[in-house]
Amino acid sequence: MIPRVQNPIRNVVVERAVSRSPVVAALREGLPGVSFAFVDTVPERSRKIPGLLEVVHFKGRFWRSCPGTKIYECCGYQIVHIGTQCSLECTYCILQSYFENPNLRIFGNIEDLEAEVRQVPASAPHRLFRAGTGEFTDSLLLDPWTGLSRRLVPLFARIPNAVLELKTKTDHVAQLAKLDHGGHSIVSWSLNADDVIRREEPRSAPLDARLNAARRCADWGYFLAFHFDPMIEYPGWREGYRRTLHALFDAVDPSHVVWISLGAFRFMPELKGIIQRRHPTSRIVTGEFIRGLDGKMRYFRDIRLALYTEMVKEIRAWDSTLCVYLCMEGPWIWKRVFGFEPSEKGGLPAMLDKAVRDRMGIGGSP
Amino acid sequence: MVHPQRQSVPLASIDWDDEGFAIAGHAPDEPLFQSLEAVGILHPPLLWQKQPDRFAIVDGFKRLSWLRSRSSLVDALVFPKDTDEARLLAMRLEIKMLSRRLNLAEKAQILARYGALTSKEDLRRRICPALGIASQTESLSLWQSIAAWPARHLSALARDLIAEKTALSLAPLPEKDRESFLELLSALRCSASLQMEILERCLDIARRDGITLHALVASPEVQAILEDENRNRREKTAAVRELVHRWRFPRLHERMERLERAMAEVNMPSALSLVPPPHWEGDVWELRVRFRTPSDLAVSLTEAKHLCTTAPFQGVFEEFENASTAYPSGPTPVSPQGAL
Repeated sequence: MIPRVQNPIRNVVVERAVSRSPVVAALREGLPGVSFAFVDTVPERSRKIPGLLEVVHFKGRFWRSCPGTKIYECCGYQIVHIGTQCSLECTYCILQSYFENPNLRIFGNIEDLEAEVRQVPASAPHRLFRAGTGEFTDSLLLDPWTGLSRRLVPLFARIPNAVLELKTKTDHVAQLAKLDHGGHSIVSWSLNADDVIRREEPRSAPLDARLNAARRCADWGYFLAFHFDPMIEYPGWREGYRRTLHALFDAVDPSHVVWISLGAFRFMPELKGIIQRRHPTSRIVTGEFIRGLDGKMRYFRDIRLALYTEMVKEIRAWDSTLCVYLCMEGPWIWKRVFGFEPSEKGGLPAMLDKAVRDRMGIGGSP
Repeated sequence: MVHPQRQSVPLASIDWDDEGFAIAGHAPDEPLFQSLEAVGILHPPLLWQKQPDRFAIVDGFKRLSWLRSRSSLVDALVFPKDTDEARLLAMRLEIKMLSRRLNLAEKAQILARYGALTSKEDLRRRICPALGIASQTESLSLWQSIAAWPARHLSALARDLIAEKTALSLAPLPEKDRESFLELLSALRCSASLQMEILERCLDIARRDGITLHALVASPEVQAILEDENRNRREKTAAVRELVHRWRFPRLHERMERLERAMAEVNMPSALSLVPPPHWEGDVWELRVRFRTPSDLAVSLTEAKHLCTTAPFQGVFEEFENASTAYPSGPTPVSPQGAL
């Protein structure tokens, strides 16, 4: 199936050290009309070049822990670092200020990445690893052309104590159809109210396309997850998010869903100016934000509570056993939304590990 | 480099309309005029002999304008006709830049005029630091647009009514919005940090509610504060800040007011003060105790222990817990009805 979102790549520049990479071979095969240039070192650029993809030899750690905070509850997610940046250009995206290089970049030394993926979980066989590729880029944006999931999904299927989460706002799932996932891969979507998708995520897949893709993945035996993050308070948010939830409930069976996360919009203060310059019609930074205890701007408590309690009520009515969690929220918010703090259940990572055990049957007994 | 010759020039030969080298100060320069009255012209003005009997002023506009009604001749340094105009302008800018503390209007003009003579890199690396202004690439174009402001706006800048950061934030705005905000700042004369606080909040409100900054400042609520003869500038600034906070954060503001009312009900001993979590973030409160001696402390702790059991004190925590999750679906515009 041809991906709905058009190929965002017009030029590829490849570092010679990775010119024989299977990723480069896949790109050349999948992008016959695109020009490829080979250089010793891809220069660091501060200017965005539309359509440019950089394939570099990454010398850092591919597997790393998600940077959390001590104040707000962190989920213990492990990042499998496949590349940086995204061309979906969502107005609120942290990547606008996170990396100096604004261009799409992937790592060509895939064998090094795979070696770390084999080695890290093996070093702690009694621990469950929840890893994902969607922290610094969209997991599936370039996947139809890079073929990365064709290598990573079967690789995770052979690791008994790890699961892979592929997080996306696209419907690029056709390449996942016949992969040997072994029940170890979760395909997850960032969801939002339709109004927010149209205004703030205009280059991503529409809601129905995301949900259709989710349904297809469920048919292929994948587990699913959904992330309502960032939730935006706007006139009509209550109805907007309810409609999205009901569309989700209609699209998939809850038994396939491992978790749903909720996270109200939050941002580093310096992102405000960037959003206002790059997206002058967006109003998302004009909400009632306060500076949180971690320095990020957040909706003040009552608004977050209103957003979360409404969602939790609806989701609980759909499946009372489904793991619903709050992303980067304080225990005082958890207590008011759920009636308990994560520490009472062993911490948020333990709650998510339990969801993997209960829904996916991976990870053995606690 | 061509060197100027010292000569006596008839003031009637000066082309007073030629402002090719003018960097208008937009501010009265009383100390200079007082000095001229006291000791006359100490440093000869620089002139450019564009034609045999026509001279353009390169440097010394104020000195010459002072002299004009007092003499028919000036002792000046004169550059010959074939002097390169760009080099003369650069010289003029260097003199201006390094001679005395410049106001922001002058700095903006120097930067703008140097923009045509040198590279952006030179502007960033040499000229901006010499002028003591922000040298980020995006600031350069803002400064250059500031230089083109109308004289009344540059005058506000020259008289330090607006701070550098405020000027840069106002630079991209339409002239009418900028004019209104400058009038507001002229009335308040508040600090740089307060200027930015008020401006950022006003811009957020305008963006959120789809109104202009001009409409916001022209609203009856703001104007009532500015026209209140019973308030001094400090009180007007406080009132504007409070109003803008209420408009920008309507629900947070209301919650804070309710909590403050509940806290005011507590008969708090003078040595104690209760501090809620900042902006409702977290759930850690602070009780601050001021004491001189151990026995003072013991008394305060006893009072604090008793306080915990009182209904008003409990009421503070009930108010804190009383999060309203039943908000209407999204914020409604709260900015002034008169402005909508």
